[in-house]
Order: sequence, then structure tokens, then C-alpha cells
Amino acid sequence: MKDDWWNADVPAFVVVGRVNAGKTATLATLLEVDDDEILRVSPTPGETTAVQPLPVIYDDEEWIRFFDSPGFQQPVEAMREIERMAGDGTPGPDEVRRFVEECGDDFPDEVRLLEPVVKGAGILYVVDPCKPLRDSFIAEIEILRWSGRPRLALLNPQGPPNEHEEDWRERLGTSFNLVRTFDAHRAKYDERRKLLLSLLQIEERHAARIEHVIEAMEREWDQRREDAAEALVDFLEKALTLRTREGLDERDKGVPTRRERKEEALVVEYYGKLAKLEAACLDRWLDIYRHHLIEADVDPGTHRGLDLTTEETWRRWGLNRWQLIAAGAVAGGAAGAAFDLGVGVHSLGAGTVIGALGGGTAAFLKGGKLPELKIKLGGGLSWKSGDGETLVVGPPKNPNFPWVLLDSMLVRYRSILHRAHGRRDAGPLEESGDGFARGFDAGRRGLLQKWFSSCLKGSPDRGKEPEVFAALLECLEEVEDA
Amino acid sequence: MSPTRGRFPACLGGEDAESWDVAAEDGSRWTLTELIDFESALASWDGKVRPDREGGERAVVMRRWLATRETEGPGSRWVAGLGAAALLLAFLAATAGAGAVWGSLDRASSGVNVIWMLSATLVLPWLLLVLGAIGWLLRGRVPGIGVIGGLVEKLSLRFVRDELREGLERIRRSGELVKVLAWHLAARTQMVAAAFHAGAFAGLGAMVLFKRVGFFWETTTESAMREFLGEAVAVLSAPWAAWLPRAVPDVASSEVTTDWMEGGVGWWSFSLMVLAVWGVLPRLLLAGWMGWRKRRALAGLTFQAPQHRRLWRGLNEVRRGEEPKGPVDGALVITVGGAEPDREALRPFLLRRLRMNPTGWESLGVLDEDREESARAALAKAPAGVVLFAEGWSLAPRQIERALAEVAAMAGERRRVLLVGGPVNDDERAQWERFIDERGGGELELVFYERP
Repeated sequence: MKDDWWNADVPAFVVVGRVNAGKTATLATLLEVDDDEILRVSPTPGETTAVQPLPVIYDDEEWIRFFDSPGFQQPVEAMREIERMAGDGTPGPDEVRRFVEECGDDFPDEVRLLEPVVKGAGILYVVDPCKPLRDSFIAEIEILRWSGRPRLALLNPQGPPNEHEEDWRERLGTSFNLVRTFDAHRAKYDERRKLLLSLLQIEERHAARIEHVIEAMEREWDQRREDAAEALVDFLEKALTLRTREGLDERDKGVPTRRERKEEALVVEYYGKLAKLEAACLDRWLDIYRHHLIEADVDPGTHRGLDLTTEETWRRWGLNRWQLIAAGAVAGGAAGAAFDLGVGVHSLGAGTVIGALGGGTAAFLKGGKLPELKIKLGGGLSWKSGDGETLVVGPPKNPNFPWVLLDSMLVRYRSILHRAHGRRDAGPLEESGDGFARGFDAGRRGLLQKWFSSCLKGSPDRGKEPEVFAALLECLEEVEDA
Repeated sequence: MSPTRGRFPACLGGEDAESWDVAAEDGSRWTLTELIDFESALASWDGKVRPDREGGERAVVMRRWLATRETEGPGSRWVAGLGAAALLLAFLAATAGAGAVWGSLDRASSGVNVIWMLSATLVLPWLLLVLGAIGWLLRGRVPGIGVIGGLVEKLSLRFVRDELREGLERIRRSGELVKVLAWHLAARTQMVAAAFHAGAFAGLGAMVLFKRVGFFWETTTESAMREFLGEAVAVLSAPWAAWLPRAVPDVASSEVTTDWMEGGVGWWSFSLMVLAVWGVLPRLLLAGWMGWRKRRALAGLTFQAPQHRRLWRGLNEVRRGEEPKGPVDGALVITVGGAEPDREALRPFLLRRLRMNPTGWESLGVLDEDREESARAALAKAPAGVVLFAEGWSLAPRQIERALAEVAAMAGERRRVLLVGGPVNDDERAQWERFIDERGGGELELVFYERP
């Protein structure tokens, strides 16, 4: 190891455990490192060959350092060697230190993993509680206990719960300051935060630095959520204002099949562009949450990603019929109310009533249909290009479209957050599960509906944008807890 | 500073009174000049910002950021320009007010038609205000109004410079600046309107003082107009009728068909009172109220436009450090003479037996000079050591010697392993061992690998 691997001013914790106990996966999830070059997570035992320092740096200062270590390979023999060094006495930190100094040739892995411990690092002992508690584990626990360092045991279950867990808890409880469960392949932000809080409980001397890391992590998380909300607002605005256009000449107008072909091409182009917007937002989210192994698999040609052509999509996501009617009525009523106000309420509220009825009825009539893109003929007489009309395609007529779009993104946001960095299976982003929009309260639905309507008309309401941003920020926060 | 402090949901409620007090206490109150400077600075911001660690609400932090900008913004010029324009307009309005009164004087009869005069100096300005307010309320909601607004905007933008056009676009995208500016302009407009009424008041006063004039009204619909005027006078003079009965005119006797010159005496004091009480005073009150709304808007700034949020995140950014550049156990495997071992099979052997993690694969002793060069460059980057791989049958002492020398020169104190692989028979094994013994291997490890 290089000379600078140890710094006495920085609190350090070494992750130890038996070969293939999930030490590297634990660190990968805790520190959000999915780069296999740095932290190799593999079902093959013995992947980690050296002690890998992993500094936690915030604002150019290192606050904590973790060490990934090779696993115990000969713990029983190592324990006997340390006991031999202690003679008739009880082994302690001095014997462990001597073991590290003298036994490198016979116990290379044990010596490597104990080097940081001898220097003063705290211990995170990772075990799989699904495995039976064998003597070799007891030897590991004894060696770590003799080191006299702060110790936290992490139960990283790699299978379904079984009867061994209680044995583990009992045994670890006698030798470790704390015992916690941390599933390296499923742990989310909250579990990571709790793990750091546990470090506070076992390592008082560096409490200020650990607290700083926890605070920085929380702030970073808030920041990420805000970045994600920005990306979502940006995506929704672009998606809802998206149109594809093409000019029509006299022959197109005269021959119906020519016009139909153009319409079909524009529809394909529309969905292609929508998919690109979708992929851009998902890529931004993956980047924000430091995921590099999974990818946004969006291809309307193969119905991957948000597939608007299936009934399943419209049944699972978006608002239900009655919610849609209510939201449509609120948005229509608001526009009507403005009219009433403008005419000094001389209309006796007729604007509000008519607006609400119109909005609600439109939602009722179109809310259950599969998407059919709006196709309009615009232009007529253009000052710049002379004559000619323009075929304008998009967005889908169904008023549930923005809600389906939002839900599809929220579902994938959840998948991103649920994906632990300790996993190394590359592949597309999962998109299963029900949506969230149906759980929104009426106020949020009304606000979003108004903004969606303005976007669908092609002129997003900038005045509402900050409120919409705040509402979507709350949505993302709720998705995290879901 | 926590990003949740000053976060939008908390501010969204807009307890203006509360935020007003907070603003007054912590010195976060903004002025219109500063807000314009801020938006202008934000428009030319390159996205780079040093995090602000002093903490505080958004308004305080944003103000500190503005203070770090060394260039002077256009705010003071804009505000001064608006002030000068308002002053000029107020002067013109006062002149127009006086002119409207004098314009309603029939020089032939030395009489003032009170209906015309009050319509021009009182009713018309208020009508304009009401129409403007309705247009503002219905903007974007009723088809037609948006088109008119758009046309006016397009036309007016044709005559301004690009710089100003960009400035206007910035203002439009920042909702809060629009709001503050709107209240500012509205207050100024009311002052201009007050000047119009005051001009009319002064014009009428001067006319009465320096000229002998009478006041009359005339109509084709005699009784209807008389009734209407009677009611209008009663309503308008309600505030002072009890204590200033002289300023309540006799409508019937001032009709032009009667002895109107004598009968209309009460109109001049009534008209002066109307202009003061229903013209100047409410306009001043409106201007004061609008100024107060402007100040409240300034005190309750939330800075939630997209660009504001971006800056806020930059100012509060927690910068996570870079991850380590690579594994500490990364080893370079160099094959000699073009050998191509099965990497997947060799990797577990290197990991478990040699405890070395093969992160790079290169070749020496091959025809392709680029590959040799690449191997030399990679030698410098393998932290854990170098593995020289040769096939069992391929011992060419000079070639291996040269490769080992090259590796030794680059590897320094790093671990060096000579890995002899492929099928290795006993003779070959003995030859390799003898070769290493004869050259005095030193730190070089000789390992044989036979694929199981």
C-alpha cells in the first residue's frame, strides 16, 4: 500500500468479513459506487485482493475514510497464532499488532485486513445471517474483539430469513457494540443514512466529522431531488408542448393516400421525439443518482419504455375517470371564474359553471380512450412561405395523457431509487408497479391539471411553474418513501 | 446552510406580513433597483458559482451573491429612467387635465358644459382604469385579449433595440420581477393620473379665479338627464354635502334653457370638490396602496424561477469528491511474443493464487509497434504490479531478458511476476527455473500456470 493510505486525523472504518460475505457490495451501496473497476462485486470468492481506501470527500475535504478489505481466509489458524503469541494471557490489541507485523507470509489476507484495524480504524463486520454460525466465524469474531476497536456488525442477508439469524444476533451481541441489518442489494437512502448514524454510536471520538458527513449527505440528497424535479418539469413541459409538423402541398391535399402517409410519418416522428425526451430525462436522473450500469431503455418501435399504445398503460397509470373529470372541471372552472371576475361578476358565475361543465365533460368523453394524436391543419396563408397548409400532429387527445406521462416517470424514478449500487447486473430500468397520480390530493391535481392544460395548448403558464415545481418536488419525496 | 431553509414550499404560502417582518429584521429587504441588477446579472451568469456557506434565507443569500458581482447593473438607470418618464408624463397629464377643463369652456357663452368637463376629467380616466384592470384579469383566458396583447407587444418590440428586447424577455421569465415592476408602474401610473386630476383642479381653479364663467348642462332627453344628474350630484357630493352645502349645485337651475349663468354658481365648488375627492385623493390612495403592494412583493421574494433555483443550488451545492481513479490491486499482464492466453480462465488464477487483479492486458515482442508502445505506457499505471506472461515452449532467453529488463525499469518497486503458462512439460519447467536461477532473479517471482 502507498504511504498515504492512513491519516490519523480522518476517522476510518474497515469493512471486514469472510470471503464473499458482501463486504464490497456493502461499501458500494453505502458510498454509491457502481464502478466495477473500483469496487469489484462478484459471486466469485476472493475478488478483493488488497485493502482499497475509499475516502468520503465533501467540498474538497476528506471527512471519513472507508477501507474495503480481502476476506478472512484462515481465521481459525490466525486465531490460534494470536493465542499462541499471548501465551497464558488473554490476547489483546498488542497480540493482534504482533500478528500483523510478523505473520504476513503465512496469513497474507488476514494481515492485510487487520492492518487498518491495528492503525486505529473502526470495524464494520459484514456477515450473511443465512449461513450457519460455524467455528471459523467465531474465530473471526474473536480476532476482531481482541483488536479493541469500535465494532459494528452488519447482517447482510443473501437469502430468505432462516433460523440462523438468531444465533448470529446472540453471538454478535456479546462481541460488538452494535448489530444492524443492511441488505447491500436492496438498501436505499434511508438505510444508508441509518448506517452512518450507527457509526456515530460506536465512534464518539470523531462524532463531529461523522455528523458533518451525515449532514452533507442529507443536503446532497435534497439537492439531487431538486435536480430531479427540474429534469421532470423540463421533460413534462417539452413533452406536452411537443408537436410534429410538415407542410402540405396541393398534391397532398388532392390525393388522400399521400396525406395519410404523411400523417403516419408524423405520428411515428412524434413518438420518436417523445421517446427521446423521455430518455433524456431518465439519463439525467441516472446521472444525478450516480447509476452507470442501468440504462433508460426507451424505444417506441419495440414498445419499450412508456408504451402509449397498450390499454394496460392507460389502466395502470394516470388518473381514474372520476378524478380526471374533477381535475378537468377544476381547470375549466378556473378559466370560467376569471371570465366572471373580468366582467364584474355580472355573468352571475355562469362562466365558472360552463367552464367546469365543459372541462368535466371533455374529460369524461375522452378520458377512457386509447391515445389518438390530435391532427390539425394549420397555416392557410403564411406570410413567409406563401401559400400552403401545415399538418400538425400531437399531442394525444386523451386528457389522461399528461397524467400517464407523469406516472410513467414517477414509477421509473422509484426504480432508480430502489436500485442499490452494490448490484452489478447491467440492464434496462425496471418500470413495474402502479402509478402515484391517483393518490394525489385534489389541490395538487387541480394545480397540475391547470399547468398541463397550458402546456398542451402550447404556452406553458410560467406564473404557475414555481408552484408546479414545488408540487413535483413533493411528489418525488413521496415516491422515495413509497 | 440547509437547502431546505428558504425552500419553496415554506415560502409558497406567502405569509406576506410575516415575511415582511422577517425581511425588515434581517436586512433581506430588496429594492427594485437591486432586483433589476440581480436579474441582469443572472442573465449573464456563466453557471459557475462559489458555494455560500454563511447561510440564511434565499433573499439574504441571493443578495450576498449580487454583492459579489463587481459590475454595476442597469437597475439604477432603469429606475431613474422610469422615474423621469413618470415625471414627464405627470407634467403632460397635468397640462392635459388643465387643457380638458379649458377645452370644455364654450367661449361664445363663457359657459362650461359640466357634463363634458366631468366626463373628460373624471369619468374617462376612471373608465380607462377599469378597462385596463379587466384586460389584465382576463389576459390569456379570453380569446382576443391575448391576441391584442400579443399584437401590441410585437409592434412595440419592433421599435426597441435587441438589448432592450432581451431585457424585456428576461423580465417576463422572472415572474417576481414582473410582479414588482407591475406594481411599481401601476403606482407611477396612478401618480400620473393624480397629476391629471390635479391639473384639471388647478385649471378649473384658475378659470374661476381669473375669468367670469358660468356652468351649464344641456340635453335632448331633458327629464332623464335631469334625474340622472340629480342622482349623480347627490352621490358625488355625499362626502361633503352635510358640512359644505354650497358645494352642492342646483341641477335644475343650471340647465341651459333657464337662467343658467346664475343658477350654475354651485357647480364650480362642486367640480373642484369632485376633482379633489373623487379624482386626486383616490388616485393618491391607489398609488400608496400599489406602492405598499410593491414593497410587500419585494419583501416576500421567493426566488423560485428556474434560473433562481439553479443559482440557489449552486450557492448551496455540496460537492461530493471524486471516486478513486482505479483499484489499488490493479496489475498489468504483459504477454511476450504474441501469446494470447484465455483471459477469463487466467483471471481467477491471478486473483486467488497471486492476489493480483488484472486490469490491463498488453503485449511485448510483437510486430505491431503501436502495441509495444501502448504496453510501455500502461506499465507506468499498474499500481499492484506487473505479470509477464510467456508460453512454456517459448523461452528465448534474449527476448525474455529484454522484456524483463524493460519491466524492471518501469515497475520500480512494484511486484513482478513471470507467469509461464499453457501446457508446460517437465523439461520446459526445468529450463525456465534454470533461466531464472542463472540471471539471479531477485524480486522476480516465477509462477507456472496450467489451465485445469
